[in-house]
Amino acid sequence: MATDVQALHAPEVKPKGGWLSWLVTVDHKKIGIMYLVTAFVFFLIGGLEALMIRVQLGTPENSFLTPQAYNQIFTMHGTTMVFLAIMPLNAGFMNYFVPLMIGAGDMAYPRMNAMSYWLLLFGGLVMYVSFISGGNAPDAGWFAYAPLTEKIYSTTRGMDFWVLGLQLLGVSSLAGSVNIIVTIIRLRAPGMRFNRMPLFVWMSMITSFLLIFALPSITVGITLLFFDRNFQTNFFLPAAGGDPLLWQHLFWFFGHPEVYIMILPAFGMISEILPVFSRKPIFGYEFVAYSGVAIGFLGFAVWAHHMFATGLGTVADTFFSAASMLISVPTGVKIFNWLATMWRGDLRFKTPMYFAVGFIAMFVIGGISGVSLAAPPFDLQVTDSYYVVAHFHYVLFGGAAFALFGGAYYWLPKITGRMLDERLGKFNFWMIFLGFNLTFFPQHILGIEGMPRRIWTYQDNQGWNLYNLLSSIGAFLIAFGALIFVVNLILSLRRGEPAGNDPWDAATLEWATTSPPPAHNFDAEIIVNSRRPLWDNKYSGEDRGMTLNHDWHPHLPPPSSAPLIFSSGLFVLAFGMFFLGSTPVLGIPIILVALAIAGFGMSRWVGEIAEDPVL
Amino acid sequence: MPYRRPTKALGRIGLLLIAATMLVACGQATPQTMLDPQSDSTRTIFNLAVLLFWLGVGVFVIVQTWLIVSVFKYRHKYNDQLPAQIHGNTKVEIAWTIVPAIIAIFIFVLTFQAIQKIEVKPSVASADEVHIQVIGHQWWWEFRYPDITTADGKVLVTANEMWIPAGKVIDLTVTSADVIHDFWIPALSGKRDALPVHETKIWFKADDVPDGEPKVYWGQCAEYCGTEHAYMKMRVVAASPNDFQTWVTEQSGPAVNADLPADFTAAGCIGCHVIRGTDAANGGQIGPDLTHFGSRMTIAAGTLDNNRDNLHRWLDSPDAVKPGNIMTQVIKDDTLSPEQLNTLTDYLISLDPGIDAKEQAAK
Amino acid sequence: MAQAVRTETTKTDPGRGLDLRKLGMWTFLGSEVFFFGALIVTHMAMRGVEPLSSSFKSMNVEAVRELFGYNVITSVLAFILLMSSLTMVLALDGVKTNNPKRFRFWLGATIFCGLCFLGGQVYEFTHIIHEGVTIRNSMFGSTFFTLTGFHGTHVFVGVVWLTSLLISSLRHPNRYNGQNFMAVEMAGLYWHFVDLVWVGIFTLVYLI
Repeated sequence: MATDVQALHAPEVKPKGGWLSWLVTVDHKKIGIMYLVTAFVFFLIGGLEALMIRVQLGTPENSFLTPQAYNQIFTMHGTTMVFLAIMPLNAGFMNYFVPLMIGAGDMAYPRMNAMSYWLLLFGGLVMYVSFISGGNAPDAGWFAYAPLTEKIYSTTRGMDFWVLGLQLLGVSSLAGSVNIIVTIIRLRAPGMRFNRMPLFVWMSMITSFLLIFALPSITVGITLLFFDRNFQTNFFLPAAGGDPLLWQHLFWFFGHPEVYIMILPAFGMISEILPVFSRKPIFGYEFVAYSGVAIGFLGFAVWAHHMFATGLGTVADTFFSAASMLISVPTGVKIFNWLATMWRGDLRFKTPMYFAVGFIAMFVIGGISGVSLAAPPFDLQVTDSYYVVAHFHYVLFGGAAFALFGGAYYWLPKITGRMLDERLGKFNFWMIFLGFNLTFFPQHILGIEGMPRRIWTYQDNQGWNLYNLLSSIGAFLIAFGALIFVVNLILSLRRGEPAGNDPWDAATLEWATTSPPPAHNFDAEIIVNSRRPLWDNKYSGEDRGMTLNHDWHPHLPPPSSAPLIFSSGLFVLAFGMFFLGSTPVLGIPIILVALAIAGFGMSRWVGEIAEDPVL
Repeated sequence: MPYRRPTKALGRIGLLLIAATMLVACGQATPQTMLDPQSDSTRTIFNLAVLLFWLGVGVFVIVQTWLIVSVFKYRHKYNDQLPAQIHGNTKVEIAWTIVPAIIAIFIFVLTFQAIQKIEVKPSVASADEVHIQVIGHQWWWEFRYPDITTADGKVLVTANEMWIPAGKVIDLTVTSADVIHDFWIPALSGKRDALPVHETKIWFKADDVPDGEPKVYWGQCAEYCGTEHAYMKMRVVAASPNDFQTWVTEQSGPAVNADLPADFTAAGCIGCHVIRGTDAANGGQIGPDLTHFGSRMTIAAGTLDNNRDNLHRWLDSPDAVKPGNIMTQVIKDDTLSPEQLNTLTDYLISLDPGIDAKEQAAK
Repeated sequence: MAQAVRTETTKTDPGRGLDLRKLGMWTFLGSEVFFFGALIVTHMAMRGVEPLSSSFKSMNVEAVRELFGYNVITSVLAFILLMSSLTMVLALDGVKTNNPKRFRFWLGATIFCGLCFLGGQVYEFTHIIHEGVTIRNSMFGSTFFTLTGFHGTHVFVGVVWLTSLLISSLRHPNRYNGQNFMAVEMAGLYWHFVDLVWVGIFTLVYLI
């Protein structure tokens, strides 16, 4: 009878093949790491853009940036943070930990998983190539309101890069979501019923469903925009009867669920961290899980609250206001359950816990300002002002980014096998916490004092000087905090303490294997008997949490270059599409080459499936 | 004076205190603040905001207190005994599902009332209502008064400065000539998008002002509209009905200086600008109507105060003053000779029929 | 002990019994429903909008239909496509009953129907463009060609997929059989979905 946790330890396996092995890997853990590294680099780039914004706005009538440059930089800051930082950081953690947490050997479709990653990287590259190509980055905001995005108003090719990059990212997210959903539904270990799944897995599943249903809307939107810009259609141009509001509906039908796509995984991480460091189970597992489902459903019924200022009329205003306020209920439930999880616990204040507690404190502020924005009359005053900027940064930085930092401190030891430094970690937290509040709290006041968002400068006589200066100082504190994280990470990789299997005395399955886990994740099949399999084995007695089946032969597909080749084809295709409308002589050959590459990749892929029927 | 509940008064005092601290902290006036509502609709919004603010403070205090108490009370204290493994408590959880729901419904009911109040325009006699068409352009505002006819039989048009009679219902029809803009005067009115094709409506009633003391309100485009979104500002002047009448009379007249310099045509100004009562009466309509330019408070949609030096600067190099604005496509840094510059500056400054709000604006 | 737990859980947890690839296909098709939904809504909302500028065409939806005699061509197209769903079912049945000849015959028939549909669509497009409705000159044209164009692309992808199955089954006669038919069933799922979308498009775009 070998339910001893130690029995799960695999011998250290040295990865073979050097850096080239990363190009052909189909291992969800390696792909997860690539996701995390890529997204973190984009996060730093987006942060640099934020610093440039804050330098420009630090003083009135500043000339650090021209208006043209400022508009490109704020557009890329938003686009980068949403699509290239927060979403892929979440995806990276999901990739790495969902299979581990449900006791699976890999994702459902390992090759498709690799494709999702490569398309993320290529999508990001397509967007950033725009800077190199004559400094003409997208300049119409991440929300890209037509008709400003149309060729007559946005004359550079920036928006074309934006559309094409986003198409690749869309395919990436769609494939990734299908993969996560199938993995969760189908590959759970025996006994890992839905109501025993870790909450991070729950939230990953809901997020993936949201993506599945929200993405098509923006895919259609940007496709129509691309047709307008390159093939002279008029979907959003009034002359032929096109309508700019069509864009807004298509965009926000995606854009609002997108908010939950970014924050639900954060909820999941917090729901993992809090119980472990409170040494108690999550309070009200079902409420936390199902409130996530409720948020997911309601998230599709509130998109027009971004459009109150367009004059929807009293009926629509009332409906969307009510639906939006309703969302505060499941969100509030989550917060109360987290607080109750800590209550009467034995709180261990390690760095992940700092970020988790910081998350609750900050997210509540974002939630409160969110309810105020759901009231159309007040929204008419503060929408598109810095109040909104403050609000969504409290949700997405104070919320999602705090959770991601917490998640990083919590899970990196599992990924790298080494602990991060606690003192640096706490310093990191306080720097970010102070910098964050100094940056974004004054922006509430700026909004109330009438400062619109997305302005490249403001005049001395507006009375906005002090708060802008404070905000800019805060931004540098955040940057410093991020730098500490980088230093901590490097130090940890070089001489961090070995983490061991279960450094936090945790409850879920990812801690029941080595750090880092072997290629096949677990040496035995885990049969789950409770919601906290590892914990219950440790504290309730052998077999109470899980039992092992050593007669287990997980099947892992061999490394494959097909996903990379196929994705490269799509990458090249993006450039072919870029030239198709303007210079077909260039565009058509590129498209043919791209299709050849993609076709070659696909045929290899199909061939591999024939031998090894896993996608 | 409607009856105000004491809680509301308390809220106002609270917010005003915060506003006062903010003023002290800044040492600066904030002319575009929404904390100083001066119309029926912004006051309704303000009262709702006060309520939301205090409810928010309540939630904030409860949650943060709970959090902080937990952090200090239950932090690890050299006691390795496992805490009680509580999995939940359905009754408690149902309670904290229902309580926020009740609060949400409460907020919603008040919101609903406020929506009715600010969105449904009261029906008043046509004499007590002024219709104005607001048209957003990249990057300036056009105001048309469809009910006011000028001396030469056209509709009265101004730019970047909208005069209104205080105490009357101002019925705005908002639209755009190009991309989406957003009309916003924080003291008088919440936002309304200026959409191409669509016409959106918004109304407000500015508080009364005495004769001879028109009040100036600041506003700004709030929807990102391209390069110079930052310099798409406007001023609204709420004048007493008498002052407003004077303004209407003066503004509907032709330009006070009909002696249009030839340079206005030679330099290409006429391609985009109208000056009624002169040879430029049928000029292009791409840029602002300049008939009474001298009476306006600002140049280039709030970019500069309107005086001779600034105008000279602007005409000398529009791109240095407001980089990327559309006039730079015609007027480059060396387009106008020094003589032309002086002639045009002098002429435009002279177009001032009398009543204006420059003095009030300076206050 | 371990075995006991296992049997208990597969009973109470049907999710684990689903086929891996089929589940992925269903999820993907769920997303596709929203994709076509967005295109259809766009078409329905915008097709009758009057242009502001006289350089664009004003389209009376009824008149457009009269002009093109839509209903005849497209009814035939719809019928062909529906028939192809039937032939697809028969093809899958051929695999499942270990009858490769039957499988290949009906698969070929399905591909033929798909090609007929595509040919019909090309004919219809040329005809409509000839009558003066293009993707550029009117909202009706823009939304119509985008919607039906994307559907046509899906049909095309389906034809390529089915053809690759046919070729592979000709090269490896025993690849698909009563035990291994998932590749065929997946293509079938996709094909039925594309047909179903056409039923929706046909009803909403051509009839209502």
